[in-house]
Amino acid sequence: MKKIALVMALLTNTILIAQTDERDYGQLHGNFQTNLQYYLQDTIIDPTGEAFPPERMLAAGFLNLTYTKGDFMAGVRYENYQNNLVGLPEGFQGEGIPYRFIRYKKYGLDVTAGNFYEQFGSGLVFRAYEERGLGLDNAMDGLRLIYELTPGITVKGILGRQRIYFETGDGIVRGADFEVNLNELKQEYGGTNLIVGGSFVSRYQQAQDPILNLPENVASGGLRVNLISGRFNFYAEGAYKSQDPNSSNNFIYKPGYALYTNASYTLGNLGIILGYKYYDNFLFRSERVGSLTELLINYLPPLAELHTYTLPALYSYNIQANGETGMQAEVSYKFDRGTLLGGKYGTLININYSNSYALDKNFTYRYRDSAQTDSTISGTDGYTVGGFPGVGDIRYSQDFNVEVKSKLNRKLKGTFSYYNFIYNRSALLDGVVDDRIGPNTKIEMVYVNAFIADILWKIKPRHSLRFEGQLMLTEQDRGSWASLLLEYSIAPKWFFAVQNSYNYSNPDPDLRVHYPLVSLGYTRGTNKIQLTYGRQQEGVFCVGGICRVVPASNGFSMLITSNF
Amino acid sequence: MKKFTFLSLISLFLLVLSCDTIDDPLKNNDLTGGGGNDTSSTDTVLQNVLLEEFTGVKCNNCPEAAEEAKRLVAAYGDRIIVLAIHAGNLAQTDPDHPRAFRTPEGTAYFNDFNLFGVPVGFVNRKEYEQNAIIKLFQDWNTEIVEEISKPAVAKINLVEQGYNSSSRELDINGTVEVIGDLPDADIYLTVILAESKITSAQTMPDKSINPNYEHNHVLRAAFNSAYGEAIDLSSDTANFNYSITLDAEIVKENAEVIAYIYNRDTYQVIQAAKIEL
Repeated sequence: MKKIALVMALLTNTILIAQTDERDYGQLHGNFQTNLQYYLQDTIIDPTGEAFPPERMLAAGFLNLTYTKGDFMAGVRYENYQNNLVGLPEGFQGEGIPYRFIRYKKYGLDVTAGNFYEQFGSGLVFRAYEERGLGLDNAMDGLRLIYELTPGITVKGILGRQRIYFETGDGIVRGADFEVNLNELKQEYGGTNLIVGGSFVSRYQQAQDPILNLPENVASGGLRVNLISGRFNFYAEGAYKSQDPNSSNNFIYKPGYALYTNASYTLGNLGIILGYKYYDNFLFRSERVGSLTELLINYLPPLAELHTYTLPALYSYNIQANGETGMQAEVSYKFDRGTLLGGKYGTLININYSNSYALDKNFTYRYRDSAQTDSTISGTDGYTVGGFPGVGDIRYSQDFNVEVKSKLNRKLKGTFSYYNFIYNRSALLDGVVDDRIGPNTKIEMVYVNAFIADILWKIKPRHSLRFEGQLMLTEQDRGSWASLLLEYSIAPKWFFAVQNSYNYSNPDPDLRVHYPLVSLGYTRGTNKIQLTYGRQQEGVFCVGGICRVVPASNGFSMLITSNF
Repeated sequence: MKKFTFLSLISLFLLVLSCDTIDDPLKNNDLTGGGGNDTSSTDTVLQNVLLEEFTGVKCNNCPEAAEEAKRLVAAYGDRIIVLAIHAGNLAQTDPDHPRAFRTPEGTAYFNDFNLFGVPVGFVNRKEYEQNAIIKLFQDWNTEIVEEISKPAVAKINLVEQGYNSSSRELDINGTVEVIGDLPDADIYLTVILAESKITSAQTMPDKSINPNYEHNHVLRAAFNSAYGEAIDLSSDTANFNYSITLDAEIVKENAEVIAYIYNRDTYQVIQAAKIEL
């Protein structure tokens, strides 16, 4: 800690000197955020007080500082959690500097020592990243080398351990990646380009299990190709993982497989995107035992529509890394202005369809007792998958939506959306999947139709009013909802918002309640402050297919962000 | 293209080198009898591990944690002493769950140690001071491996002194004998009554309700309060005896008595023993 303080003092001095001296002493940049929440007990939405923290007020924030001078860069991040906000991992407690690094580049070699984030390809094999909203931070702490062998061929090497809260995990992560960009290699730009790459990552963790012989070294490798040709773009990545019995796959010994492809085509106003995914036992952590967002080595692209509006977002897709397959198709077309559908200002239509299914798994069991009454898949290969494409009977999700964006007149813009989706609540929120499904299991499917109107009215220069009306109809789960939002902005400094969501057909009449929320925001330069008061409904917050359940709460919150 | 082929071959080579292949996942070693440490003989010589499993009848993830406890007992034998503590919001009765097994002691542990939910557990109550006493069930084995290899510093000998079937009064006595270096702190003794083979409803992992679920090692009462009493070990030996009246619904033949001593400053369990009645 003293060393860090010394570095910071030196950096601060450097900047002060830089203000009075024309010599280049480099640049120091930073950003800051703090989020305070004061909770009120609300016996209607949280009758047991489960989400009412004993601290009453919780706060979480950070300050990032990055110093750069030429090819040299160094940075630190101070974080504080007193204690972490409700719904986020409680492992984040206290304060400290969990992120610090030094990086420099010289003669094609890029060296990072300390913490770093990195991704190989689409992330199937390796992705170290941060997503604060999820409480996910699997930053590496170690070494990274990036070397350009020749223009067009880049090699990366990583070594270290991953962050878990204010510590690092037990597992050692080693990896390498190479990428060949043929156009750059041939120094021929334009036209068709082919980028190919390969990556591998291995984890070492000591094994001490009394019953199972566990592999201490587990490896994963993948190959990828990206063909870019004018209107056409095709990306595919396939990956393999060696035996990795872990707490998430119930300690089975089957290797893992993953395939992710995405293709897009554009012609004039028309755009088409097609995607396919196949993930079989492909969750990879740097420790065998971990929960939710802890110590993830890889990332599986969800290939599902991201629900951004409040009500559809209550049913966001949660990736099933132990096995799923699906596809996504999106067609967008822009009707030109002056046409029947384009109107006076043009209209953009997006149609999106995606689905996800469990794999067609046939489970393998063994008996743990001589009486043969106690069976488990642990310690076996776990299962076999029926022939390709291996689509099982259990549907995780199906999502169809249409979005129409149009400028109605000089002052009015509108986005109108329709959603029709089927959501396997049991699997995606309660984790009832695979061998947890028994003969008496009731799979809870939720069938939803939702309509959204999002209208922006530019009242006069700098003044605008946004209206958002949402209606989400379902007979399952918590029933139907309606929501209204009015947001008045005076650019660039102020905004005021009032929102109310009403769960009007909850099967429990006591929970047919309103969730009002008022917000006020003020921006001055790069400083922003936002105050919010009201009730938040229980929901699920997802980023990139990784989700966290957020309990219902009531109270004040203050968010301050700043950067320089 | 030659470079690409070369790099591909290197990647494949690294992949092959960097993973272990296990052909036989199951170990054959028998860990249950080693060291003469059968606590049912009431004579504890080696370090035993008290696994306090916090659970609830409405918690659908709890049967998996109970399975893990069972797996660990199968692996380590009687050196693992499991105590299932039903507490928290998911340990409440409703029409589907007519019994919930809450106790004032269990609620005290749940609140005093700031538990956020179930299933979680304490392994010998280690790492209280590091604010890491709460262990997810997936971590129990790793924690047990650390604890079980420690040399014992005390022995606990437990004996059923007598039982009056009409008054349902149970008398137990026992001895704590110091055989190593005790921590420089107050040592407390807690004696607990638990019960196994209770058939009652439990929410299962698939959210269905099993009305005939078998609950084992359920905390039913404390002989000498939730946190016990100080025990004077200045002469390296101390005797104790306690009585309790069994509640009418407790089946005496399925009951267990668990005694453990712990460091009052750190809550770390120093030794534990169990007898089945």
